[in-house]
Amino acid sequence: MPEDRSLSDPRDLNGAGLALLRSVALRAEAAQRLESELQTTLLRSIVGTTVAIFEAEAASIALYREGSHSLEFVIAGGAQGQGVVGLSIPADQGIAGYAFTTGESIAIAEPERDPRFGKDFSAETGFTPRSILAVPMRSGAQSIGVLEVLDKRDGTFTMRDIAIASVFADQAAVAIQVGARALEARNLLHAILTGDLHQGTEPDAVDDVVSAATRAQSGDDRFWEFVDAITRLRRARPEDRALAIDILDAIGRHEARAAQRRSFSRHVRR
Amino acid sequence: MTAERPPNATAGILPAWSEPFLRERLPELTRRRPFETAAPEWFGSKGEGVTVAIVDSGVEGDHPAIGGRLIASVRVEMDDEDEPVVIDDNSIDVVGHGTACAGIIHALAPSADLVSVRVLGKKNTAKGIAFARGLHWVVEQGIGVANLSLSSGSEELFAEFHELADRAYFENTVLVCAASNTPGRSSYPSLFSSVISVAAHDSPDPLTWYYNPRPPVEFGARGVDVPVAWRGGASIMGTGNSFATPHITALVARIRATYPDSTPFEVKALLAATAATPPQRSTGRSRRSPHSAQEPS
Repeated sequence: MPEDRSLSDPRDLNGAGLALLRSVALRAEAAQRLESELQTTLLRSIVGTTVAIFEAEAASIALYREGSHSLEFVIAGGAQGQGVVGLSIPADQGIAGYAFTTGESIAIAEPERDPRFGKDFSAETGFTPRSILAVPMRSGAQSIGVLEVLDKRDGTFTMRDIAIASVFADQAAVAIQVGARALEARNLLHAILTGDLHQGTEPDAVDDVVSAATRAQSGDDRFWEFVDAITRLRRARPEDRALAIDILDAIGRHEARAAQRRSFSRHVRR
Repeated sequence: MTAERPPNATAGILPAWSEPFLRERLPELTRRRPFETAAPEWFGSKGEGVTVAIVDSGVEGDHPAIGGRLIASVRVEMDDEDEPVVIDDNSIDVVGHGTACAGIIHALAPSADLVSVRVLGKKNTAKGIAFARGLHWVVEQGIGVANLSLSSGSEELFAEFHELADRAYFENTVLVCAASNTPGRSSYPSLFSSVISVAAHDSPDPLTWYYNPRPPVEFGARGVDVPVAWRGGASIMGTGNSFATPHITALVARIRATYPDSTPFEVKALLAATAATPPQRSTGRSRRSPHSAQEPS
């Protein structure tokens, strides 16, 4: 391979290299699409369980967004939870901000006694909680988000509640990290390309190669339609899913027979 | 799951550091023989002449719960080269947490002067290094007592915090540190032997504290449903080891006011000596486990 080879176009790679690159990119992309659905389901389930255990009015998960240095509420559950999804707060302020910044849990109660407490945020969500428990979601020593529980039905949050919520927050953090693995596969591609394969390659050029390789899969062939359809099936009723499996199975068997016939006819022609 | 569970059914997920101070376990906190006659009246002062640093989210200087005792405020910021620097700050609190701690200290040691060292805020989010710099500043200033209702989970900073805690100890700055609310998590410097570590008990008396002879967490103070000051002149109820810690900090200020030359070692011994006598088990049988309930993380 020439030393000064440009990598702005995947066609510059040799056939085997490109095939490998595409295969890795394809798997990363497919895993990401499938996992994100699974991850959301898992996070919803964690939030739902949190609401049930504490008999809380609401529970929510806010994730850190580095660009805006904010915490964005992405999942919520409970009777009073939904208004919060999509809202963002500064990552260093308020109860959630404290838990995020310090990596330490905090439980407070009866803020409605003082109308100045959390006024702005309450106005946006239309809900003023009586008690709040905020637990950091951590990846190692790093905070990646916050699990918040609002208004426990019976009294205020106890030390034991803090410990229990921490277990849920840990689960949520694991779910988030599993989702991040798919992204890491892409990053790994970058690492391989920048490191062993083509030393001295500009990062922009590597970006181009990776996105071109990924794009090549999402162009003419209907692969992504297929992935999306499978993803939707996760939400289907069991009987519909059974039907879809039967259909896919029939197509698979048909394709196997067709391949057999093709192979046979090639053989005969020879 | 049934609604009624035996109290120990969830022992595995109880907050490790507060577990020795749960009501049913208090009888295990037996008093040391030489300490039996010691009494808190030994240091009946109000903390006069003592300066207490609150290393936290800032302190709201004009909050009524502070009683005008806040004499200085600084904050740690990262400079252009990402090095932490200490600069003067307005007397503000970005969360309310530091004001809560300051309010508890002021309530129990009303004559003590307070200094706010803000290590939380936009430019040093989750940076243990800013926290370490703030702590360093406190020791440099010769401030006698510091309330650390926060800690760092950074393993990379273990050595730095260890050295800082030792330095504070040798230079007579008493560090009063909250144990992490979450079991099994690193929390520095609260797990070092040179500091006074605090977890929560659920009794409502602000002047009841227990000594736990099985470290790392040695003291238990009020930390459940504590009425505390908060940001914006507000007052709320807080639960956590964070709010237990300033109770002990205030006691340290009182001890230091009565015995100005006392070393951190002597302060800790006095606190242990004057701790509450734990209730006795009605059965009279000791149920002490052969192992400590706590595992250092």
